[in-house]
Amino acid sequence: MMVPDNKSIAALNLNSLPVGVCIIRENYTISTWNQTLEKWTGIDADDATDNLLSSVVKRFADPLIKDRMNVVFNGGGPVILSSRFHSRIFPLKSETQNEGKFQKITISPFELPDGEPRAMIAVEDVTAITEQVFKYRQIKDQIKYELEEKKKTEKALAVAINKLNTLASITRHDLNNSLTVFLGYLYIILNNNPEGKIAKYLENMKQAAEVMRNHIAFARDYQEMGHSLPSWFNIHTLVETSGVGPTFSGVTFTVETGTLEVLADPLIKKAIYNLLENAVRHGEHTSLITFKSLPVEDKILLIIEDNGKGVPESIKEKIFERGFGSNTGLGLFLVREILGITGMEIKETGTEGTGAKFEIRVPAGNFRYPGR
Amino acid sequence: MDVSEEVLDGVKELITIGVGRSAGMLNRLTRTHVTLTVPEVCISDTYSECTIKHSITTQDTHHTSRVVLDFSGEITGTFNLIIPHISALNLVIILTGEEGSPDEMDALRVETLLEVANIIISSVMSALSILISSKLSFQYPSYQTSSSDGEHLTFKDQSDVGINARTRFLVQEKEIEGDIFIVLNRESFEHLTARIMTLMETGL
Repeated sequence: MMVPDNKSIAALNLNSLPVGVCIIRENYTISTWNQTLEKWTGIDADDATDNLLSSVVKRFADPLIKDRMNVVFNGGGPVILSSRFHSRIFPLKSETQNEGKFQKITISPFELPDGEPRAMIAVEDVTAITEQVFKYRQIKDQIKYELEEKKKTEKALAVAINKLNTLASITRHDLNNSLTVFLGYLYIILNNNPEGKIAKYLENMKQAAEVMRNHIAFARDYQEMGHSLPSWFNIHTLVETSGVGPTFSGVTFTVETGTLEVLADPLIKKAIYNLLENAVRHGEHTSLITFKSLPVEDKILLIIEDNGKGVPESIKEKIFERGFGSNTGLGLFLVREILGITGMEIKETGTEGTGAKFEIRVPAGNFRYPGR
Repeated sequence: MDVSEEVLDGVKELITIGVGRSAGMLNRLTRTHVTLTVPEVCISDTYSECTIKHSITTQDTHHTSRVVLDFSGEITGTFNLIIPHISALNLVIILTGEEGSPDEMDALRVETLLEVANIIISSVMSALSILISSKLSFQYPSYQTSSSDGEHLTFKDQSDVGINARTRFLVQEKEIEGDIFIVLNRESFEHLTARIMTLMETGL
């Protein structure tokens, strides 16, 4: 039961508030003790009212809290007792109850209409938020720890990759040097016009050495993939800069992709060059290569078509395999790998006899049209 | 703005008394040795003049944490305790002896900072209250974050007067600086000035 000290406080109906409310007089005796406090503490308003605050709530006997309280009646304004510095000032009915476990207390001075000073002690139950913050901090610390571990692993990996790259680079360089010497001697012998089986064997050796050189070049290109961060490339510019040189004399390029840009590994320049070079080399009579773009749902289809001899149905997928082909067998394999770094997929969908047609599917978010 | 040495000294003394009292309370509350000093006080009716050179409100590199308390009555104005955000966070962490990552001012830390600021504000207001004869009405203190460009401290009225006191915390050999910034309306400031002058002449 709440015992109000006058009509004006009674009219406030402090019992309906979700906070514990205790009003004290200037002599520190309790004048009001609301039902929320009764519920949390198990102390009846009858037992609390007119008694000294420190005899009902023992923590208020603490000299430090007393000093803080003094400020309230001495013109210092409201006093805050946070849950962090003062865990649970008001006692709980049961040690196992969750309500009121963490309390935030505000003590504010006010005056009754007759000028008599009072202080209102509002007890806020901050248990839920306190426990949530603790959990949140725990999760954050765990994430931070995991991130630090990840960083350490990444650093170790970077060192290992760097070592491997250095080793690969040195090995390639040394192999190339030895191969150059080897080919040099081979050409000297071939220039001496060997005959019969020897000539055939030497020719085979020359071809094998060229394949070795291509493998070394492939190893270099493959190592470079994914080394740099992907960036935006304008299709028009890529075609313009790739389709130059004697290989493409007599070939017309038509680019109908507008301002289309794709997010790609910087090696995309090599990929586009390989596609163009393939179109000319394998198309046999290719004179026109067209670039188009087509929206498909939330993606973009970049279509590269030529008017060469096309790709037979039976090898449409095999052309992307490493080792396939009449040249080095690395071109289209590399193209697929380079495009794959940023999620692009390539396939051949042309008709044999009318020309090759490559479709590159660019995922949503990895293409844009500046200026649109 | 012309402010007599007496008034400046009087205000500085009262703020120092309040700040000193709050240091004592913080020592007892946190069982940590806390030293609080007020090395400089400035009074002016324009914001630019009112902010002390090197005061945190004139630094534009960081965001600040601010605890604000409005009061009215015989004197009317706003009390601001302003601390650079990171310093405020560190202050709370040191005072509470928390472990873990001190990277965010979460709800608990805000609540703790509010109590620390409340101790300082209450002590200073209590010290200033010897200049007035009636009790003031106070709003509930609020926590705010803002950039340290001082825009948020713009006087409510052109005739307002600002009292800026640089406050230096020394906690566990770490120095944290903040600003106490009290904005008073002109009438309140003149009232305080007259009371200081009277006290100087007659004594307490």
